[in-house]
Amino acid sequence: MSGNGVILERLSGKKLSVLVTILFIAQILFFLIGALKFPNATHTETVEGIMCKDRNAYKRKGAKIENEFFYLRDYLGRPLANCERIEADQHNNIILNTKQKEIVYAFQIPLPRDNKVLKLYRWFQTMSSILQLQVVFPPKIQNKLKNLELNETGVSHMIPLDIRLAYHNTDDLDDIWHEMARGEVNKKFTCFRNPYSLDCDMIELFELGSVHHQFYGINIRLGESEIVNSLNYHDESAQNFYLTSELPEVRLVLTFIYQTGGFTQMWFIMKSCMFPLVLFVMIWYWNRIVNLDRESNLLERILFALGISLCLLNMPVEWLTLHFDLKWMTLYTDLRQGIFYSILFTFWIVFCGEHFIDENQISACPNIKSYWRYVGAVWLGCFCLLVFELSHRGMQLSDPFYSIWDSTSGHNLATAMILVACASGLFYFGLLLYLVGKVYLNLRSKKSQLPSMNRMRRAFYEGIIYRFQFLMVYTIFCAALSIAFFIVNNINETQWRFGDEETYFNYSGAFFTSVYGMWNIYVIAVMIFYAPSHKNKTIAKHYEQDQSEEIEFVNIETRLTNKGTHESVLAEFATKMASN
Amino acid sequence: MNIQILLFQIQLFFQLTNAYWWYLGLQIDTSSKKQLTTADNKNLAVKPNQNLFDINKPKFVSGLKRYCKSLRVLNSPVQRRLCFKNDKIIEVIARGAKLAIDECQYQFKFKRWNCTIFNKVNVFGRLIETRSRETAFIYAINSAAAMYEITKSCSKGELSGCSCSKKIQSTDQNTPEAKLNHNIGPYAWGGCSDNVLYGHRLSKHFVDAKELSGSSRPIRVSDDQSENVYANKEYKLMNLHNNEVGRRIILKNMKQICKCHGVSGSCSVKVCWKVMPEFRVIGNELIKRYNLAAQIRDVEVKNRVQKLKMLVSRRSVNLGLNKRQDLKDELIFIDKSPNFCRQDPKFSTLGTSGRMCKIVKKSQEKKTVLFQNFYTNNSTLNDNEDDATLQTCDHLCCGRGYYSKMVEIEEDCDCQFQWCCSVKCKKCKKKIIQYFCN
Repeated sequence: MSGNGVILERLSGKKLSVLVTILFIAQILFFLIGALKFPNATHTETVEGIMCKDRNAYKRKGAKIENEFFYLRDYLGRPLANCERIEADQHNNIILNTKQKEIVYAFQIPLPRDNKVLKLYRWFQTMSSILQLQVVFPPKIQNKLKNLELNETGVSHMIPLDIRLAYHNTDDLDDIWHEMARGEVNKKFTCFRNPYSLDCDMIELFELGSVHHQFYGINIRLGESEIVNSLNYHDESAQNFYLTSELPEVRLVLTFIYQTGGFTQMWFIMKSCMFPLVLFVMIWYWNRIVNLDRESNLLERILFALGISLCLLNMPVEWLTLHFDLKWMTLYTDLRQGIFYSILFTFWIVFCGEHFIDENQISACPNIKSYWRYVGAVWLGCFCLLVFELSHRGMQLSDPFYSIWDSTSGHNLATAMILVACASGLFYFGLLLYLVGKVYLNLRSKKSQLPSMNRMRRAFYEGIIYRFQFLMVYTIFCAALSIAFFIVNNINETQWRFGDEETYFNYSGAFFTSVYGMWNIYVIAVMIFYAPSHKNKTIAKHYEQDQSEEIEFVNIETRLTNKGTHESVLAEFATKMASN
Repeated sequence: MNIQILLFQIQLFFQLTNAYWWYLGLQIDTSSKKQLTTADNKNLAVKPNQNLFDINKPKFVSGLKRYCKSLRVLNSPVQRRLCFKNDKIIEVIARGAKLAIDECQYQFKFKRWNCTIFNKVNVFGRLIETRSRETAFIYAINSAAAMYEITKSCSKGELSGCSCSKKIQSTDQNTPEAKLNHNIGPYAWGGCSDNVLYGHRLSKHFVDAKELSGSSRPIRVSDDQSENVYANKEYKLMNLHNNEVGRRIILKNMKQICKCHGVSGSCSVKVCWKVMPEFRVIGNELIKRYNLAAQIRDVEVKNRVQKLKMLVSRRSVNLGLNKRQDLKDELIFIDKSPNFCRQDPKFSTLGTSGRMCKIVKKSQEKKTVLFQNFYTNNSTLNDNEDDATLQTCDHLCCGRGYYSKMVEIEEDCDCQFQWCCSVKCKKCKKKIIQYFCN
């Protein structure tokens, strides 16, 4: 006769405390590694655009002249002649002798440092860029702008941008830049009028899922949007008036955000270490279930799925990015995180449901279908995020300048998807709370009945209560810690610091490793603790020597936890007890 | 003929012992029409439009050396060494000096002292040798502008020498981190520091070098020689302090920008970085500090020159005497400002006669702050550029009266901003009355 019961119940207090201590130490280790050995997770580089004169700007219409790509430095960091620089008149903030169309803003990363030419590394993994636009008005017209009043709150305007992205490697010839993408996009800028300038909020320009090349160059041409004639110049007799058109100095600043190489390296190493460990625990766990002389139950299968998703999360495929140009890496990372979270959320629901000892409801249901009401919310939310992800990041694979927020329909779709995801997330957590509360009350009522029960039945209920409470406490602990880390990290990042306060303690690294380690430990611990125990055979034997009534109970108990029967076993048991 | 040249060079030498790097800012002036006041410059040392940048791109090290040596305004060995190391730095510093001069003249346009500049190596005339409030402002705005321009050219990629190291001190190779990032290099390992940190460091190195080199002669405040030396030390400490104030103003006014980063655009990670404000903001901030500058009474020097810690007591109406206070972010001066009303060759002040002034209606006048050298209450100070308080003709003309002139000017009017980014204006002819001091 095989029994149920999980390892957690059968562990002696001493063994349990040793195990918990080990896990706790592992958690602290994760924290310390992150705090002491990891560099900051991200690194920003702010680059101001240099204006180049495009002599061919007006020739292009007729003959198809191959558009020049402007770059700024060669592989030795020397300034090259390709870019004929336009300098704004510092005194008046006016660009002279140039037409708007001729101005090309050129960016090249990375910037030279320490008299050396730096290269981007594949270790950087991701690169995203933020564009800021600032118009500096000439002093003489600062107070005379009729359509931009001072202190006007946020003027939104679409500005067409012609962006080209190209890369260059050390083994390329100097003037060869390979075009990666070219896009004409309309970006919405929200700008604020200051006394001397017009400052626009940052917008996201593009995001690359892989930093495969050594140098990247960007050319941006600002296009003129449709003319808004709020002032009518044509009415007045043109005797004393004539129109002037001037180009104020426009500054484009791009901020690039990369993952730091050190962080990637340490992260890869950590994942590579965790992957076999989780894999081992998972195999061990599944092995135990297969060895049972009964079918696996839902909870066990879900737990196994959780193990698989964690393995997927840990699988260090990222190593491949050091050799191949895997643009889909960000998408893949997001997808597997999504899978992990959805299974984790499902697991919680199922776990609660399976510990509900009420005859008429969930406990009688054997498979995932019976949980559709609860799990549906999770999967709907995840599906919405998947749609969003695919239509945003997925599209970015072919066009890095694409953003779902730019077009109205895309904007609506994205908003709808995120709203639905948020709503279903809220719905899920409401349900989960409700379920936990219900189970908790249910178990408490059972607990109060415990003293009046016989030994077998009491042991059975005590087991269920113990299992449930342990996981609940542990889960709440992990979730609370994650949230706390998240808050501390965000506060820490937004604090003012100027590098002169050198710290050896890295919060952001600690945040990542701690949260990562915590959920790894969580899954491992749950798999170990909730694996079916083999010890119960001896216990069962011990029970056999007891009264026949109790033997009968063991039978029922087995059937109950197997969830193989459709009729309510407890009801059956109750009637039997009554007839006795 | 030869003797003449020799004499000129000797004269040049004496002139240059007290030269300032700010002079580079005058030489960069090519496009804009700056009116140099030439009242006091009979012994013109350097030709006004000597083009610095003909020899701007020296191909060889020897060329660079010759170029740096030719710049006599770099009177400290530290500055010259920096020039040897990086050919672009002089251009950047010169741009900074020009920015500072422009900003100074903008801020002081309608004040008794209008930031007069001379085509001389000390740029601001003999006023700069006084230990006055104006000197404090000049030093602060120049060091701030130097830092501003260095930081900017770092983010433009013009200065290749911008440092990458996160630490202010030179990198110690024995730290565990140095070992860790051995294989992929510090940049790949942890990225580079913010440009502004380098701007702060380099500008401090360059700008403070003048005060630290000890080449400027003692200021004569009394006949006792030792007292003069002490005065010089005080002068230098004051300048060093005000230099640092200028740089700190930039650091304090940096804007922070944050960006969320995470799965599906969620805010699981926040990345923040800082951007510099417009230099006008720095100028406005400094003029506020100028109005509230503290007069120091005693100076405490600790650890000689390198680590200066000045404990300054402030003579203030509000705070009372002898109250000591940390003045990290405030300008300090020692002596009272000269009277700018009259022409005074001792301080190279031109007086306010002939200056243009503005008439403000009586109702707008704020009488409490009419006197320049009084401590103004912060609340009554108007940040607006058309600050009505100190620009009245009565004040500017020192009560000597003024005359008016009717002029017809042509100016831009009804301007419209065209997205993106041009400005269309009408030209309007207008008759206005201008006022000038007697």
